[in-house]
Amino acid sequence: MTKVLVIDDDPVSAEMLRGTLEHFGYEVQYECDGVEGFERIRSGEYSIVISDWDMPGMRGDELCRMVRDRQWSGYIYFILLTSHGDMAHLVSGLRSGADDFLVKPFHPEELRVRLRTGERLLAMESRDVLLFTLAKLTESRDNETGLHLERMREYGRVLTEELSLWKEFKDEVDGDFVQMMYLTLPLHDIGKVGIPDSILLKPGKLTTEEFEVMKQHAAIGGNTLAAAVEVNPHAKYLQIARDIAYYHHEKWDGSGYPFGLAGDNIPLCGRITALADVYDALTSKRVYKDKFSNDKAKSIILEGSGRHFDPRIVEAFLANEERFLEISRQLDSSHAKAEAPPLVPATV
Amino acid sequence: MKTDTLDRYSKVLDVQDLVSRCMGNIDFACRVLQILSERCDSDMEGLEQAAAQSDFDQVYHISHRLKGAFANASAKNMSRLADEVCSASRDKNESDSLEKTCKLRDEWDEFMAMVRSELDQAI
Repeated sequence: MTKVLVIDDDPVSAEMLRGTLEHFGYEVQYECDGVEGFERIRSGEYSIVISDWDMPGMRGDELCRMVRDRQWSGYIYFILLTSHGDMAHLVSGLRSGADDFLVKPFHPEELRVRLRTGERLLAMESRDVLLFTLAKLTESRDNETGLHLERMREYGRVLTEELSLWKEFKDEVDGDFVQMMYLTLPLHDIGKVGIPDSILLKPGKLTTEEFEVMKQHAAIGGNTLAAAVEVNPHAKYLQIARDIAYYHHEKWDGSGYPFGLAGDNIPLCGRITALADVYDALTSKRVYKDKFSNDKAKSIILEGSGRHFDPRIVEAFLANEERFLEISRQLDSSHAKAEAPPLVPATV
Repeated sequence: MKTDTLDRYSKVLDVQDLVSRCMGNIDFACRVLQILSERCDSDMEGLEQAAAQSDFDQVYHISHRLKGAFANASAKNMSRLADEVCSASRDKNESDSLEKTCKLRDEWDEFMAMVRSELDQAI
C-alpha cells in the first residue's frame, strides 16, 4: 500500500484528504505543520507528499524547496494544495520544485488522477534504476567493454524501428515495443552471472563440456527474470527482458538453445536480439578472433537467413546496413576506455 | 446523520457538492461537518479579535485558513466571505475587514445553530 504524507494545518482539509485517500486505498499519515512534516519526510517512508501552502512554521513551497535541496533514497512526488488558485502561486509553487498543484476544494477524482500520474513517474524511476543496475551487473561479467551492450541496444533499436514500419508487424511492433527493447536488450546475457569464471573468462576455445555449461546462461537469465515477472505480472518490460534472456540463442530452424524452438514460436524480441548479438560478435575483436569486416559479417548473416535467423529480420538488417555500420564505427570498443563504462540509464 | 439531515444544511452549504466530494459517503460528509464545527469556532473568535485590533497579518492568516476549510466543506458562501476578509486585510482596509468579518460571523452562527439543534435532537 502506498504511503502518503499529508501536511495541512486545516483539520477540515486534512480530514477530506484522509477520507479520500483511504477510500482510494492509500495509507495516510498526517502532520499539521511544515517543520514536523519535514521531520516525517526524513524518515524515508514517503514517496508521495501532499502539502498545504500556508502553514505555521514553514510554508508549503519552502518545505518543497527543502525537500528538493536534499538527496533522498528515492524520488519524492510533491503535490502542493492551496486555496491560492492564481497564476503567480502556481508558477511559484512549481518553481519550488513541486510536481503538481491542486486548488482547494479538490474533487476526489481529480486527486486520484494526479496521484496516478505521480505513481507512474515513481514506477518509471524504479524501472529505469532497476534496468540500469541489472545492465551494470551484466556488464561486470562481460569480458568485452561496456560498449558491447551499448551497441546491442542500438542495433536492436534500428531493427525494431524498421519492423515497426512493416504491415505484418504493425500489431506487435509499435513505439512502446521499440522503447521496451531498447531498455531491456542490455540484459540479454544477464545469466552469465551464474557461469563460473573459469569458463566465462577462459581466453581459449571452450571444450564441449564447458560449452554446455556456458549455454546455461540463457536459462539462468530467463529463469531469474521469470521470477521477477511472477511477482510483477503486469510489467511488460520484465516480460520482454525475460524473453530476450531466454530466447536470444534460439535459431529459426530449431537448432538453438535452451528450448530448441523454431520459427515464429521464438518470441520476436529473441529473434531480433539473436541477429544483433551475432552481428556484434562478428564485427568486434575478441580474445579468440579479430574483428570481421562488415562485408564478411553480412555474408555470414545472409548465409544464416532461414537457418539461424528469421529471414524478415535479415531483410530488416539489409535495409539498414548503413546504420549498423555507423553504430559499429561510432561505438567501436577498441577506442573506448575500459575503466569508464559508458552505459547510462536508458533514454529513447 | 442521514441524508435528509444533511439537507437541512442546504441554506449554508452546497450539500450535493459536499456529498459528491465525499464520494456519496454520508458518514464521511458528517465527519467533515463535525470537524468544521469543532475546530473553526475558535478561529472565528480569533478572527474577530484580530479584526478589532486591526492586526491585518493575523486577520489574513486566519481568514485564509477559514476560506480553505469552508471551501472543503462546500460552505461556498462562507468561503466567499472569508475570501473577502482576506482581501480587506491585504488592503489593510479596517472598516471593510470588520464589516466582512461580521457578515461571516452571522453566517457561521446560522451554521452552528443548525449543528446545535442537531445535537439537541440527538440527546
